[in-house]
Amino acid sequence: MKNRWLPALVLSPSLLLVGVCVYGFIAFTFYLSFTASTILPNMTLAGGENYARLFSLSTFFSSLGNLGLFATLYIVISMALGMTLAILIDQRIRAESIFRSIFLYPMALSFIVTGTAWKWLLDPSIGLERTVHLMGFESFTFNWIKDGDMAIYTVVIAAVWQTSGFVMALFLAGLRGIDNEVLNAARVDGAKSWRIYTRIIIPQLGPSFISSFVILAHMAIKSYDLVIALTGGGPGRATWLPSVFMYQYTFTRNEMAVGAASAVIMLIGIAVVVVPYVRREMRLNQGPNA
Amino acid sequence: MSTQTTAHTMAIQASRKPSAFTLERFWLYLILCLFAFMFLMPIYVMLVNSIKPLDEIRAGNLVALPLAPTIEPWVQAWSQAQIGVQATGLKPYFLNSFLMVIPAVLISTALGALNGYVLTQFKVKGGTLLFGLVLFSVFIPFQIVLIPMARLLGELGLAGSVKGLILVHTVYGIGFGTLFFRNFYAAFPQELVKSARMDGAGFFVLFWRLMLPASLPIVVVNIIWQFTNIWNDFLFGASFSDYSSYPLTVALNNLVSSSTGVKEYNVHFAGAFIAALPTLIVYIVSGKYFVRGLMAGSVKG
Amino acid sequence: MTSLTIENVYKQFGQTKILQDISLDLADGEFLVLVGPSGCGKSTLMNIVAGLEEPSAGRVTLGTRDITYLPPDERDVAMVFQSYALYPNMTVAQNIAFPLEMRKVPKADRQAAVQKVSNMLQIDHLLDRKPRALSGGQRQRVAIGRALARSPSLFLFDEPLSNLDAKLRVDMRAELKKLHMRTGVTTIYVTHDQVEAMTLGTRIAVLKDGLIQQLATPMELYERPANLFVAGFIGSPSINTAEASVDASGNVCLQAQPVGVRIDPVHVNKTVIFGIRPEDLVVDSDGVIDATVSLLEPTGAESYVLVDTAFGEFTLRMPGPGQFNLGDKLKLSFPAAKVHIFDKASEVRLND
Repeated sequence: MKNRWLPALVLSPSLLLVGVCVYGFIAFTFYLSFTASTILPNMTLAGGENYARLFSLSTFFSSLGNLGLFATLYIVISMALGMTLAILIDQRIRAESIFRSIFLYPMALSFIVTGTAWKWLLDPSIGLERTVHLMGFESFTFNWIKDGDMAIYTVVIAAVWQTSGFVMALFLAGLRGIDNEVLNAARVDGAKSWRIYTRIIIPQLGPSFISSFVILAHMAIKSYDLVIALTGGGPGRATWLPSVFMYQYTFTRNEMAVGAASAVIMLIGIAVVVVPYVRREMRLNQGPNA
Repeated sequence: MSTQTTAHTMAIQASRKPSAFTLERFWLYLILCLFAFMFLMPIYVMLVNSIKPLDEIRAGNLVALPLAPTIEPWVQAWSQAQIGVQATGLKPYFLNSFLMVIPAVLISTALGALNGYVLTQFKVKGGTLLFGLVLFSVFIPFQIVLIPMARLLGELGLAGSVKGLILVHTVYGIGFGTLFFRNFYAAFPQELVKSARMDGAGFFVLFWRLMLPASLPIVVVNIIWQFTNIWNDFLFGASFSDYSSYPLTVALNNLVSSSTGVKEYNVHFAGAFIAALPTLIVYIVSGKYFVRGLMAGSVKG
Repeated sequence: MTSLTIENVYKQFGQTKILQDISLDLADGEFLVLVGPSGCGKSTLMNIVAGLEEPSAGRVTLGTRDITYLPPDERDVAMVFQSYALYPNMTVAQNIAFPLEMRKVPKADRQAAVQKVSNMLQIDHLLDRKPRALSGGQRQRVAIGRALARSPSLFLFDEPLSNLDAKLRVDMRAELKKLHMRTGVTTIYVTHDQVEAMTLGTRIAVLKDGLIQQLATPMELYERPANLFVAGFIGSPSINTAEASVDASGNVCLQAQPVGVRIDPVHVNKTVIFGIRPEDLVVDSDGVIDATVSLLEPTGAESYVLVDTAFGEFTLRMPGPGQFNLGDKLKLSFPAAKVHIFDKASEVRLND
């Protein structure tokens, strides 16, 4: 290459933009979380006061608790459902592409759309409860979405519906990557279908498990749109997640530094899940044409 | 692969006795259809109820077909519904979304392609670290950049404008694009590159004449993925736009979440459908490209 | 131990006929090689015997049992695959023990079997490794070990040496033969390599286009190939051929020169194919064939000499470095007993 600066030059706009708007901003927000900002950024340092305040707020704790509950159910159910769908579809189904399209289409939708649809679907006055009543089962109740204790589960339902197809696609790719001859060998060795799945196929799906976990976990932590559209964070604050907390405290309650602190907590949460994955990817991809 | 699958098909089918064969398959299809039903239910409900008059919804069954179908809710949603303080329907915001999405997708795809090319074909100091940083940047919670970005947009005079949104989405789309293209170019046959270099191809010629044309499928995948993500975004829209520049998602949420007045469910459903249509159409038309986009984030086995 | 009988097996997919009327009888302890070019159906036949595919018609019997439609695990058949097909998530020991585990063999017995087999194959130092940490040759032994551990009634090998490099292939060939002599298990071995076929098999079935061209011992195939295909397939370098005619008394003649072979006079005026193997051509000053040396290929222990004749290009096989130069003019002759005559149209052997 004649001009050795050209590659670096071409990279520089992106490096600048990402450097500033991602890492620079992270640093800024981090700094902000230690200041006394309220409506507008205020650069005077206030030590760890905002974090102290953060952890003293019951709304933040309940947000964290909601996130824990939501994330666990969301990840476990999505993985189970996704893997099951993948295994079912892998059985050489005739209308395979149709089924796949059906399970995957929710991924094309905005969380706002999903939230809107499920909001009314699960609403007691016009949705599921009422429909079942009209079918004759008068005593059926399903008012989770209005119930402070149960509302978070409606978020789980909608979220699982949206992303199980994606998990299915990941597992399907993993299943299809398994060497056919190994399966033949297992059949000759006397393994029945069930055993072939549990002893040979599923253990080889490690990468699919890892990918789906990383992606589902980080989506759970980032969940905001769905909650806003589905429950608005309610009833009351029953479905607040840290993301909702952050937005509320920063833009509505004018406690910017506290909001910043909550964002930092969110980042740490994601980093814990994602950094090992990123490092693994870095190790596997040692630069150009290594 | 397909010959292998066919042989596999023949192989597995052959070893079962016919009666067990049909019973198992019956259950299989039944379970799959049950799941399909559950996945299709919400969109069916949305569609069916978007063409019902309001009293039918209130009086009746959410899953029942409309007795007196009407396109009035769609008309309402599109051009008459109250969004915030104005009764313009979703049309202007639909336009906003388009104006926002198209430049952002094009620019971030172009940058992503160039970046992927440079990172894989040239020795860049700290290339692996850069890759790691870009990869991580894709996962960050956007809450962490909201405050400084709002400040930046303010300083640039872009606050509350569609242009501001274009900037935001472009910046945060670069990471994804870079990753997609990097993964693809990393697997590009090196013999072709070496032979082109020996033939005298320089930096841009190599990119423009050899690698970019070869990566057209990835360009499509990237465009589809970015389009879907940016169109469906809500957080950035809610944080950085004002009444005139709301993207469609924000407008929709506004429409649905207004707590005053009569809840016009049918209009809400129609509005949600309008918001969903572009990405749904892209999904249906692009088929496997959409799936490839999803896969790009996964671990290589 | 048991014998295997394949009766009138057919296999077709739609209009494509993969196997046509295959019948084979294996005696107990026999090592049968199925050999043929790609697409001849040998792997399909193997899969049918293993139970991975069903025949469109016909029967397969192992011992006294009709196994035609039995699932693979009920057949007491073990198979070694071309790509070894080891379970990537299990160690070598677990791989070998897997079939025993599936048959609910108690742990202690399983471990004993694994030990015995791994000692025999000299892989006992690899028992805790995973397949990805093994070389090709080691993986192959593990695959064989897994098949051996079950003490099956029938062994199936599907081109097991194809993925090994040349030297290893030769070494493993000898090992497989020794293994068979030790264990005496009835074996079907599929390959496309005729040298493997000749050295390993007690009998060889040559397949082409789904039909058995000839089923015979290696030497019979070599000395009396039943048709032109078999003659050309077995033996390297391959047999030299030329068109010949038949006179009224049944003498075969190369351009009016009798070659010393008589066939049934009913073939008079037909064109036949005359065949002679490179190793059977002799340089003889009284020879009937005029030849000019066109190419020399010394391989060390012997040389192949390509010559131009009136009947086309022939190859000679000579011991040592050979004493010829390019352009030398020679005369060639051959023993009449080593001549092969085939009908041109049907390619069937015509002489005894």
